[in-house]
Amino acid sequence: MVPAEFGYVAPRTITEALALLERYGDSARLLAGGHSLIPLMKLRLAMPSMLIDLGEITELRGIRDDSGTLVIGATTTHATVAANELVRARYPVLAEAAGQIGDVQVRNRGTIGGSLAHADPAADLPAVMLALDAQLNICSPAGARLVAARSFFEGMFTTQLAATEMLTEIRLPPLPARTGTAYQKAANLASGYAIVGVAVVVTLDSDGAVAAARIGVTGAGAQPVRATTAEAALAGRVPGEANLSMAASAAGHDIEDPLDDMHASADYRRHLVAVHTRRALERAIAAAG
Amino acid sequence: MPLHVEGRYSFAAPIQRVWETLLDPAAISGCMPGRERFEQIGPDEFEVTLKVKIGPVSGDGTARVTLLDQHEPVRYRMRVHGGGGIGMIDGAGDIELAGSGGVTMVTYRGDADVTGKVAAVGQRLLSASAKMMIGQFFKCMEGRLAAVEPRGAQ
Amino acid sequence: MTLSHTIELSVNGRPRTADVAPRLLLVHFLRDTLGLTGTHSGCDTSQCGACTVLVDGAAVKSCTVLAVQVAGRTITTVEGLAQGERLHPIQQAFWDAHGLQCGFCTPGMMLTAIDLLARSPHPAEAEVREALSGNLCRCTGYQHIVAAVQRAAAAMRPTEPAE
Repeated sequence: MVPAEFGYVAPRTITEALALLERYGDSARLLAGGHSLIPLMKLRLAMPSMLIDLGEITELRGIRDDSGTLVIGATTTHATVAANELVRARYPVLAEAAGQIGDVQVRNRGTIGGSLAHADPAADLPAVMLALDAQLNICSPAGARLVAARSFFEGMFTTQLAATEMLTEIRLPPLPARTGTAYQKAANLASGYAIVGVAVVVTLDSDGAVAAARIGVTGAGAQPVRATTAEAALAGRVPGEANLSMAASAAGHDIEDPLDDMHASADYRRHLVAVHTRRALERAIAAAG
Repeated sequence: MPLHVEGRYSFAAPIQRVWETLLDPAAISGCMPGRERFEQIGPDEFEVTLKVKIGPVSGDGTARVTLLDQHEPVRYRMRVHGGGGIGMIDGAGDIELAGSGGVTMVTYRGDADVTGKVAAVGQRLLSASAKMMIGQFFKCMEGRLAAVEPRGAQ
Repeated sequence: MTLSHTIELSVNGRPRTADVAPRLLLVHFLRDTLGLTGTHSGCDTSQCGACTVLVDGAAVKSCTVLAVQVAGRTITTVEGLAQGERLHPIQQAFWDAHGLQCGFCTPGMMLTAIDLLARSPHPAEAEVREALSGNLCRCTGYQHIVAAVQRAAAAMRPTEPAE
């Protein structure tokens, strides 16, 4: 399989890339790691007439601290994210999820920004971004804007990104003390895609009660969602059997319209969300200690 | 591969108006996601060319849509047959309307056989895509119903 | 719109320059343009790992990379492993531990294993299996492949100061 013909350009700076994006508009696609786009192009399900390769833009890569906020460049690979010491120390849930994407080779090419912008309903990272309350920096020739991960995803393969916009950075706010995190997924054995993935960030107060809980769910529906009823069931309470199982079950019902396909029925997906929410909560609470 | 869709959509309008809108060729044409061309070829038969774009994936195709077994205003059947470069579809669905106190619940249930490239490689997302397009269609219909006040209202 | 791009890169230590169409996949560039047919094209859908090569030392599936994307990079294929008649330790270990039967998946397996051993010189069995999860073998049942990678790890580990 070979993609249909297309033009190719590899800008060196974000400014150049944005100018090209404006020039070619909807017929162009941004190319990051290419591990979602190139397979679609080989199948000719996607046939952009121009690829703007972001691979040569060094300012889009890398991980840095910005006064406590961790800033991850959009074309940083999953392998780099998973191995990064700052990520592992401050946001173990992100290292855990990034290290489970696809396989070694996929993680060596696939990028964090590519995954988020592609918005595959079964991608792992969207759930983590919701749980970490990430801010996404979006640039266009007109300027930059910050969008909360929570309002970024609009549907299957659909985000807030307009045709002339580009995701440049992922900004992770610092987590308070006594915060634990965990990512749990039911992976499709053949593809590694999340049939259901649950990312949890829990902060305990000095009495051991839940000060804040954020639960991001991917794979279950057409777009990633926060399990807000489940979060509310935990808030202010000391975690115990009763409220953990209530929260888990609520998480299942927080999925409004579960996907229903050959891999898992809608009911089974709800069940998996409940089971994995429970497991993730237990691990996150133990880590919050 | 078999594709099954079912779902419901609630309209804040009386059943007769919902029926008339759902079967109005102009409304159908206006609300089909990605419609490029719409041609009425018989009293209840249309030829539709769609260009669908979901994220990076795009495809176009032409289908014949027939409205059958019309029991105004409670039930009809829709048959869809056609396709394009990314695949072919052959299926039919039943649409039922139930009105109560100015609200109409529309329930749909359909089965189709999808073949070609999209069936071979797109199974994972096929039913979700279908659901999304049906959702867009109904949402658009809802907008039309809200925009056009019924005659004699006020 | 230019339909041909000139790329310069290093393949197995040798500088190469070629005019390529943007849609040319790296696997086809290596096999058809350079004649390096040790890189195998298997599933063609980035699942089987037979086409794995190293780009700047990192294992990638060359069926899912465009040749234009690796301009300026350093590529290692299976042909670049041996030093003359002397096999690379990973090749020697696959030989010694019978880490192959038909050999189709072997180049990809070895290159993925080199990526692993560069990051983790003392991998536990589970780590080897996880690292090779993107490489499919339909002959061996993996047992000997895992053994070969562990054998190579032992051979590549410096036991005394470098000569």
